[in-house]
Amino acid sequence: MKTNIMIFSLIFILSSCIKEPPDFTGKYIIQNNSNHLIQINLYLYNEIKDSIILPINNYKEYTYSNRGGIPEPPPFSADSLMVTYDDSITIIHYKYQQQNVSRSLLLPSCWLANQEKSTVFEYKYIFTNADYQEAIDNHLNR
Amino acid sequence: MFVPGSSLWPNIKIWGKDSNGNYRTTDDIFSTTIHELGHASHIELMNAGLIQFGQVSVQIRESWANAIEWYITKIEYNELGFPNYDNPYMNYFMGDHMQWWKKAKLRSDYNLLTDTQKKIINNYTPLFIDLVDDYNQSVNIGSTNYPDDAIHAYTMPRIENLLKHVYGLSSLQSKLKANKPYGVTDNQIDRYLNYYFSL
Repeated sequence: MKTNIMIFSLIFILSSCIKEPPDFTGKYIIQNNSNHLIQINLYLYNEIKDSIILPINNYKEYTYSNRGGIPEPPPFSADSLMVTYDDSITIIHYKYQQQNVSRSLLLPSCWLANQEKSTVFEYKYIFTNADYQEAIDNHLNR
Repeated sequence: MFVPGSSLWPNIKIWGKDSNGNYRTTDDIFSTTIHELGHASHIELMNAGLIQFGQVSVQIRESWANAIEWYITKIEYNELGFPNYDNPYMNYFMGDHMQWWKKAKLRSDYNLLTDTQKKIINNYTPLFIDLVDDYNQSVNIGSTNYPDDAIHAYTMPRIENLLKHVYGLSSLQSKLKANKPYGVTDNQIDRYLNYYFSL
C-alpha cells in the first residue's frame, strides 16, 4: 500500500512539471548574388525606418529565437521598401499593395524556407541578375 | 539553501544557454524567469491546487505566462531607461509582445513544421497580451491572417481575477463577457476569440 502511494505521488509530481520546449531559432538571410550593388530602404507608415547595403556577393543575416515559435520573414518591420541597384535603378516592393515585382522581399512566401535542425529554421531571399533585369524593365516602362 | 517543508529540488530552473549552446541575452533570461514565475503564480491563483491547474489547457497556461512575461519585462526595461523596449509600433517583427504571431496553419512554412511544433506555436500565443495592449496587428500589419484585437480595455489584474475559473477557451469566453470593462462588447469578444477557436 505504502509503495503504491509513493509511486502515485512520484507520478503526480513528475506529471505536474512544466517543461518549456527548446527555443525555435530563425535565421533570416538576404543575399546579393547579382552583379550589382544593392541598397534597400525600409518604410513603415510612410517613414523611412532603416537602410541595408548589400555589396556584390554579400549577405546580411538576422537571427531571432523564441520558445513559442518564430516570426515569418522578412526580419524587419516594413510595409514597403525601395531597392536601388548601383545607386541608379530603383524598384518598390510592397507588403500588401499590388506590385511590379515577381518576388516581394516583404512576402513570406517569396522566401526559401529550410529546416536546418529540428528547431532551427533558415529563411533565404536571394537577389539575382533576373531581379536587376526586372527593375530595368520596370524602370523603362514607367 | 534547503528550507524544511519546501521541495527538495528547485521549483524553477533557468538555463543560461539556448538549445544551440549560445549564451542568452540578459533580457531573455529575465523574461524567461518572469514567464516561469507566471506559471508559479497561476498555480497559486488556483488555490495552489496542482490538480486544478493540471486541468487548465496548455494554451491558457502558456499564453498567460507569455502575458506576464511581456508585461513585467517591459515595465522593467522601460524603467531601466529603454522607453521603446518591446514596442510593436517600432518593431512588430520580434519581441515578447508577440504581435508577429499567427496560427500555425496560416504560416508559409507550415509544411516544414512537425505536429509538435504546430501545437507549440498554437499554445504560446498573445491571447491575453492582446486583451491589454493597444496594438491591433490585423490592422497595423494589414492582414487578417493575424488576430483582430480591437479590445484593449482589460488590465492584467482584471484578467488575473477571472483566470481562477478559466480552464479553456470556452470558460475564458464566458468569464471575459461576465467581467468586461466599459466599452467592450460581447460581439468584440466573440470576434476576437473566433481566431483562437479555429486554430
